[in-house]
Amino acid sequence: MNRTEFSHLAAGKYLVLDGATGTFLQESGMPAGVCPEQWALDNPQVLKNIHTSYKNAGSNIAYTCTFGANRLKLETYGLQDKVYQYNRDLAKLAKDALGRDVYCAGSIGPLGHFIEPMGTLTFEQAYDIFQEQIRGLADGGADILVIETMIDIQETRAALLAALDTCELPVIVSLTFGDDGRTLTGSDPATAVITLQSLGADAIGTNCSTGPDKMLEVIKRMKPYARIPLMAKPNAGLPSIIDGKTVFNLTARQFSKYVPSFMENGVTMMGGCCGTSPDFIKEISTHFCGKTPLPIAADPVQAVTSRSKTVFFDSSKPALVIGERINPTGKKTLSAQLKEGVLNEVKRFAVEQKNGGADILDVNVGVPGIDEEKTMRAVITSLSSFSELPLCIDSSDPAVIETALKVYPGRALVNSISAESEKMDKLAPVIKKYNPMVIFLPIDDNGIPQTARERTELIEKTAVRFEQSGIRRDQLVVDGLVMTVSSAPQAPKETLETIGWCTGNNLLTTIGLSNVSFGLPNRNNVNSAFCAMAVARGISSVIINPCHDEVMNIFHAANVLTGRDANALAYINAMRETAGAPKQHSPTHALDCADALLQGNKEALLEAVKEELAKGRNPLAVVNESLIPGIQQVGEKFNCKELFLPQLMLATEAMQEAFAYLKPMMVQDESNKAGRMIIATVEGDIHDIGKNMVSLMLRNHGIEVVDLGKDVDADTILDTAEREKISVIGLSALMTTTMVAMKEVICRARQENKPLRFVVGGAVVTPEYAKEIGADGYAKDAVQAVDVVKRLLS
Amino acid sequence: MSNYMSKDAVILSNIPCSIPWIPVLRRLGYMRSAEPDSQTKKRIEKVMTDAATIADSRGIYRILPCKAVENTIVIQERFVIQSKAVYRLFESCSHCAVMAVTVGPAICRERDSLMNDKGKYADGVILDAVASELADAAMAWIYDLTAKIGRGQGFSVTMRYSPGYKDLYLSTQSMIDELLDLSRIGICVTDSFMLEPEKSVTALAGWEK
Repeated sequence: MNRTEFSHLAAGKYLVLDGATGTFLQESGMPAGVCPEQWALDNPQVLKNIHTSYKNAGSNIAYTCTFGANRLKLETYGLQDKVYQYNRDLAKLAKDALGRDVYCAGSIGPLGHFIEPMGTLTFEQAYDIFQEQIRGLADGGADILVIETMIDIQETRAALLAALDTCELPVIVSLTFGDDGRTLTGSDPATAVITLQSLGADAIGTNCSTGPDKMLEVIKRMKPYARIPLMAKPNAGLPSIIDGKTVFNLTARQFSKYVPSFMENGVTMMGGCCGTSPDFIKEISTHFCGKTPLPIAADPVQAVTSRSKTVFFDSSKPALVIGERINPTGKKTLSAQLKEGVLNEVKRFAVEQKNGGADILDVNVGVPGIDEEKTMRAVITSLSSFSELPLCIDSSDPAVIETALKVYPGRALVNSISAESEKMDKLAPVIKKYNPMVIFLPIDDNGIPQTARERTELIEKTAVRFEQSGIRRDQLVVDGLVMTVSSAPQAPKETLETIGWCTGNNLLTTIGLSNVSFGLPNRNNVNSAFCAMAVARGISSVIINPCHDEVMNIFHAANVLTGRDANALAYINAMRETAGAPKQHSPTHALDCADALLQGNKEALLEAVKEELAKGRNPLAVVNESLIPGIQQVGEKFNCKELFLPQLMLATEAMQEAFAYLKPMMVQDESNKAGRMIIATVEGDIHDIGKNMVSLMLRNHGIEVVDLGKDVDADTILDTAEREKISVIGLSALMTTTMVAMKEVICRARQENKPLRFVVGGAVVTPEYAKEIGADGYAKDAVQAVDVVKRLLS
Repeated sequence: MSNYMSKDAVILSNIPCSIPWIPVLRRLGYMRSAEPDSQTKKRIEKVMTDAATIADSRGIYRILPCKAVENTIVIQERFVIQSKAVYRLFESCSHCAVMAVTVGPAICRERDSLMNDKGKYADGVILDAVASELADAAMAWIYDLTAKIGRGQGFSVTMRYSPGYKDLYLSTQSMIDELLDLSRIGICVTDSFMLEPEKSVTALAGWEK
């Protein structure tokens, strides 16, 4: 059967699938721990009986017993060389048993390993492994392929592409969704449908993991977007163990009650998974008998997807924001990192643009001299797990676009295709194969049409050519071609007219907004005004920097004023941050040291210190009478939960800068110091953030701290104390296993009659423990540590 | 449901976890309804962005048979854990997920640089809190993944339990290392059973039918 024949078959009748095979094999004597495929081949009559039972129960399509017959799974039994043979022979066996009236579907299950970037398999490795299995199934005579029980969209894509590239057989794709309504790696039903049907699946649905009630919810979420037949294979309810056996809680009759609901929600192919038997299939067959499916009603889906999110182009909603920043043009750091294969800047732009309100991220890695294909692959692979936003693949090289489309685990937006003959010839087959949304530049071999009329004529003409190449009108997002107003004063008007025409002709649109203002001062003014005008003309998406608040604020306002932001919800949400931000007034009077410290304001503190010195106070007096009382106030407010850790540390930063400024002016003698102490994280413990904070706070109070670092043994601590003539020691530990090392240090000091005083602290240390090990003090945090150390030093 | 009890451990990288805002605030001392002022909020958000870009989150897990007998858990018939707390949790379990995650060494290096070299103490303590939450989020993600696998195969899955809690001693880290070979995701267990990089977490979860 070819794909067209399958399409006609599925449109004309409800199709009954089969039920569980594994349960059946176990009941027929298959021992635990064996390779099911090998056992089935060794016991062909058992498998034939299973297939025949389902045929007799009314199945129109029955699956081969090849769920785990891939190289990776067979490898666990040392049977990796049997992949082709097992698949071919098991397909033949099924065909023989099923005869001519029942279609044989070659079952393909997951590999058991994840594909990069999450896992270690490359996309190509997974593709090759699936292809090997598919060849066997096709040569064994399978009529259909069914990729089932899939838990990861990228693995499913690899299997689907392998199937579509290897043979002409129709492909049913079936995923497994958990209680949270998502696959193991986070894809929701709508995203899965949109991604996989755009890639070429002939039918889609879900099987296993849940009973019919919860599976129905998944189907309801698939239906609005499915333009291909929907299938379902629920388990026989929920499992439980009775007398050592797994038993499912629904009978065939109970299961049967759900079948009409599945039919009402668009399912035209139904069978059962774990716990179901021919009795269940008989019930489904009874419901299906004599009924004809309704035509599929879903409209073409104009959307892009990531692994876990779908973004729709919807003219009744706010225009989409395509973030433009992941583009090395004019960005030195990004260019340098891309050349080195470092992706920190890419990730930073991804996060910032998402926070700024981007719906889609444009990805351009066109640095001169770079291996663009390799770099694009690395960036797409990394971003597709790092960010939930769908990606727009931006390149002028068709090979780069093809590589990116292959490894991208969703339905991407491509930027861009044009009517230029050479570009169209190379790119059209790629677009046809992967079926992304695609930005269309109305440019042909004669260059850029200057007027809106010329552009719209070219758009109409090219859309027809695209249709002939397999690229549908609903996939296109027409670029309005924004030219610079300073060099072409009429150009923005032509762009706006082009957008308006496209809107009236149900074509999606976009613009690269910032081009319009090139060469002008205060570009954001021009960009904002043009953005609002484009929204008024019905623009579907704008390619902009979403981190520019001025432009984004006008963009949000324009969506409200054009009725695309119902109840101004998006606007209010976007403005919430701005509204909540404090007004940045210049202070009307200079801050004193204490206020500057409370604000953690370095600049203000330095000004305050300079002012005090200018009044004739000596540096030591500034420290003792202004800075230390100021930091004490900070500590008090920290204790009262009026200030928090970040503010305490900001005050510390300011304090340290003030000390650094004053230090050269101060006479260096011991009388300036509040005392000296040693601090260390004890042996075996590698955590030192808490100890570092204590150390900083002590220095803020004029205490000289000899910081020995982390994982410090008792000898080093005690020897340093003796050598430096220091009598107060602070010990820190984070773990219960390492806090015992504190005891060792203190015991050693006591045994050797050293005149030392100890203060201890750390996440797991308590006052009781401090007392138990003979410490002289305990501090729960950095602020309290100052008081305790001062007491011990006095 | 696919059988993910592969003989070898499953290694994951680029674990897609987001940093939870409230737990970060809790680590920084903002309890109950306390909220940072807008400037501090922006600072925390910026550090979170930095953390997300430099984190290298990796994980590893393995599903193994286990048996609980008299305050003892035996994994794969030879790895023995003495713990009343885990025994109570795993009492009816036939399998367990052994898991580890790390957010990599770069994030701690950056924190140390902020604290010790750059004098940016506020950013340093925030990054430390964020990195801890990232490691926890990565562990939550991998636990959730394995729990879904378990539930898909008809198991009930217990909560996760990490060495260092109650009577599950830190020395269990060495056993987990032996089971998973943590070096494959860049984790090293020190002589005092600490994990390096510092922001790494290990855990066990039981599967029962």
